[in-house]
Amino acid sequence: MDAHKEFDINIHIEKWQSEIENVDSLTEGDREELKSHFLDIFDSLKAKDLDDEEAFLVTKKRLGKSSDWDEDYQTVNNPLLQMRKSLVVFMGVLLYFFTYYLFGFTSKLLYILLHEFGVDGYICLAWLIRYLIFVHFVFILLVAAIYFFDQKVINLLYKLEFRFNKSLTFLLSTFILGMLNTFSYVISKNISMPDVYLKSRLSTVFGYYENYTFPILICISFFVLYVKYKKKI
Amino acid sequence: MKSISKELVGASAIPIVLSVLKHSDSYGYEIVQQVKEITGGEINWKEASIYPVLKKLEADGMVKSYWKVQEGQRPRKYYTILDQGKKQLEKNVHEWNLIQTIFGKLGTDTNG
Repeated sequence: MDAHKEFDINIHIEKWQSEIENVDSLTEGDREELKSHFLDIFDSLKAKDLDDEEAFLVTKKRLGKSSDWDEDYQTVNNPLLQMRKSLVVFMGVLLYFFTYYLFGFTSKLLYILLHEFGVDGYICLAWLIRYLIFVHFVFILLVAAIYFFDQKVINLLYKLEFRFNKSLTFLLSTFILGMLNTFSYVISKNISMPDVYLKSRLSTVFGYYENYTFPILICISFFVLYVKYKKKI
Repeated sequence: MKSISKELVGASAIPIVLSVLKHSDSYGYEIVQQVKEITGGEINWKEASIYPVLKKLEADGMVKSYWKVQEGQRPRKYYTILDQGKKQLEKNVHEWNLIQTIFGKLGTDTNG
């Protein structure tokens, strides 16, 4: 029986490519350029009758380990890397507003829909409160998942390809959600108009959960995750 | 045969790359192969190291890059030398010649 496992070049090239993907100092253009160079060396070695395994190993050696050139890339890409860090902060702010508007809009939409189906205003309000509390719990679960299974959550985000080139779509979605949140607030107040007490209760509920408890929950979550991060470094 | 020291390779990388680009537009892999061929493999670059050099030259306005897609080949990022790059090359060549002259005038003999 052959002692060596068969060398699958595609698997090894994919593995090399995923290593390159994880080098933070590289831009997308740099990665493409390195991949092209890698394949050029590999092809030239194959043309010299090296087998896949030999050609792959020599190619890797000739190109060098990421530690051989990472520092140089960091220096030349520094302005871009700083911009990337700013984008991460910006994405965090955007994520806050996205969550906030999504939370606000869906709660108001629930209230409007129940109202449209002829459910009594006070029952709508009771369902609205249940929904708002439910969303708080979902958020706590999400934070707990990040806290206890951080690596798995990060891998999941990578699989979703949650990258910067999608940040404009994200920005637009947040903007649209913000608009929908505002309009749905006006509509939900208008449909409660005849009952002044209901309208007042509705404003109190929205004000309490959206402007008080939810932002506090986000701040606490940030603190908890920050403490975990501080323990790790 | 000993290869050229790392320090000297680092110091000479910019004029060497500019010299190659002075003859024609080229891409990373091709530049490295050309240099290896000329030096008979005495310049031993970790080949990926050429890209930060090219990026620095581009940031300093000495070269310009563009992607070229030729039929049946993979896309490649080509570099072309600009006027500022040519001036830099002239300056570098002058400096290297000066150093060579110093060795010549001092009669530096590596065998003695």
